[in-house]
Amino acid sequence: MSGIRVGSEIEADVDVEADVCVVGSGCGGATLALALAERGLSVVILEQGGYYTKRDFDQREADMLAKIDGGRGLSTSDDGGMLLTYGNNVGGASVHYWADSYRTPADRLEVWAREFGVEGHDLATLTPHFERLERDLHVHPAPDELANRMNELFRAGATSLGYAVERIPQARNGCIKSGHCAQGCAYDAKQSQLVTHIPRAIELGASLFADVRARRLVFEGRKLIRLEADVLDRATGRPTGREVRVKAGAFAMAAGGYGTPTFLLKQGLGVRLPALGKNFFCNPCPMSHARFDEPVVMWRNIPAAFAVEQFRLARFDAAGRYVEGGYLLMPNQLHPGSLAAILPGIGRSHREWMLALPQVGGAIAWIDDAELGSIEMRGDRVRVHVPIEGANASRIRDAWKKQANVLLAAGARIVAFGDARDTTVTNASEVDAAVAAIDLRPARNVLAAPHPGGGCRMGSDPELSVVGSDHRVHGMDNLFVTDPSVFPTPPSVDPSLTIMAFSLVAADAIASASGR
Amino acid sequence: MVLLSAGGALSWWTVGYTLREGEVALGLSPKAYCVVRSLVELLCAGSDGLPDGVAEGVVERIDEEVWSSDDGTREDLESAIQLLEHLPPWFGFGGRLSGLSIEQREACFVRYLQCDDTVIVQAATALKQMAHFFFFTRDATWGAIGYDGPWVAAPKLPDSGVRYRQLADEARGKPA
Repeated sequence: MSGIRVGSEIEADVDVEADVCVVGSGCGGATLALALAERGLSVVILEQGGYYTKRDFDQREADMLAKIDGGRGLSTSDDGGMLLTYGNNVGGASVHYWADSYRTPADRLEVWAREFGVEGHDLATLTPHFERLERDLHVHPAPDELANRMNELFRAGATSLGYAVERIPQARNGCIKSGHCAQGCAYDAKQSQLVTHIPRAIELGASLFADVRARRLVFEGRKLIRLEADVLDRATGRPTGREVRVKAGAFAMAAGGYGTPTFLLKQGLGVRLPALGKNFFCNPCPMSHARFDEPVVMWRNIPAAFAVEQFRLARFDAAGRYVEGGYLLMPNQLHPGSLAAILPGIGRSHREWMLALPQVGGAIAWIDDAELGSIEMRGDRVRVHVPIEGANASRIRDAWKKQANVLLAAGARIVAFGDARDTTVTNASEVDAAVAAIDLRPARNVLAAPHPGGGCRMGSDPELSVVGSDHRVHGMDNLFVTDPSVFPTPPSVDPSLTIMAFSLVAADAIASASGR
Repeated sequence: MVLLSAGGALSWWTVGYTLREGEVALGLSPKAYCVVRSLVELLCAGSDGLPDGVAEGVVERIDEEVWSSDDGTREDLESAIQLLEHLPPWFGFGGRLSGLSIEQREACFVRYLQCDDTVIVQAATALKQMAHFFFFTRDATWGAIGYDGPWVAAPKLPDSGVRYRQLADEARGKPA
């Protein structure tokens, strides 16, 4: 695409001037770039990952993990308890996401305003942005024909337990149900940033450098005057020795929930921003695996057409003790490599599951972190800490119970929780005791962390937050953050639409700071 | 006596790790490559209609992954492999992991996965996950497990895979 330069094309140092420099090209960065380009501003986007299109999306897990996943899928939290998943390509995590597209629930926006002092991100302000995004990305409730058999069984099981089942809003246009959303859509049907906001921004004059990793911010007092970045050799991920230097009126960090706090910490900003890297969340995802008598072929069609939303908010008793909930509950979609990696054990039992693959399905829950973690630098290494204890542990156990009950009600012969002791149940009466006995110490379970955020929390107090309600970093004139790092708490739903809507809000302040 | 003990310890640590013909270790050390091979023999055995993981190139694919990783990840994995290789005596097995019979290797590895030490569980889990992932992403395994595969017909290697293969061929003395 004209307007996009990849690392292999950059044979000498490059100096660029623009009204705004955006670091990161996922939901936050691409949406912001488009909004600024629509205002007539010149925008340059830097993306450390590669530029891939549908011709590169071969639907092979091992190939695609290497192309579009940060850390090639090998990154974990500091104690090994959590697999950190994030995008590393033009389009960011939207290229591998499931296309679930929820508006931010009003109750979260109210909490952010009331408890954290967030202004200008209320439902009335965001609603027109949601409407625009839903039009742009073809968001619609999942129709029956996109559901696979696992989705149908999930709906039947949940309904039989009395749970309300909702259709998940999907950002898709012309889905042909190949079932490889997590490996990038080979048909451009999933409405990722790669096929929506980025090409539109480029059409309006934005330029994008792929394989270019931001390295250093150069300040004069409160003003950021230049950003220096390394051009990377995509085959090795190492700098080629060439550099891209950007002068801009304003700079927006949109490198994602892991990337932005990490980068700002590397700049030494943690000294004057004590909340930087704190308040980190990631939506830990416990999974249950189930074997059915019939083929469920979970790898086809869309990952999740239906969800149980009634447990989205945690429920407490009159004494304030946790009762249940704090997550969304959905059917799961895994492909053979990923399933094999996370199924416990090494012997006969592991192989029996794999040999029955077409009959294997499962459920997943996106836990709204109640205990927050942190991102910190130790020497030159990043350490991500996610507490799997206390209130988070209660939610994970409750989610496992609900998953198992839904799967058993749907006709599963056996349900496994994926823990190191290979805990299984075959009957609903066994579920509570089995889940209570699961060892939640680090590395004994496979929990994925797909929705990082919070490390640059938005708020009014510079001691407790990193950016103000205009997305500007406290104490800086022209440095902004427009990604989920700014969320004060998890949004309790898939964050993509919230990230984009927040970027549309941020565009005004950033345009103004750019001097245009 | 001290010299003999030191010599014994050195040989316990270093002797007996020889790459086979055609094997090239670009990411792993030669020793770690041999240990990973012994784990793939255990975890990706050719039976039940599934191919043999070593013959399928799972060890080479893990080496490629390690070669492609950042320095920190590579150091962590190398340390994890060394740890697993030399721990069997602490778990009641007489020898290095790669030198145990398949039955003993399996028993020892299960002990690793279920022990109380988080570092050991982490190390064993990481290797188990990589071996299983790169085994069941080989299309030769798909028939046996009933996976009908991607709809995109032709695989397209990542840049790292292309570069790794070039370097591996060069190291084997094949023309690039």
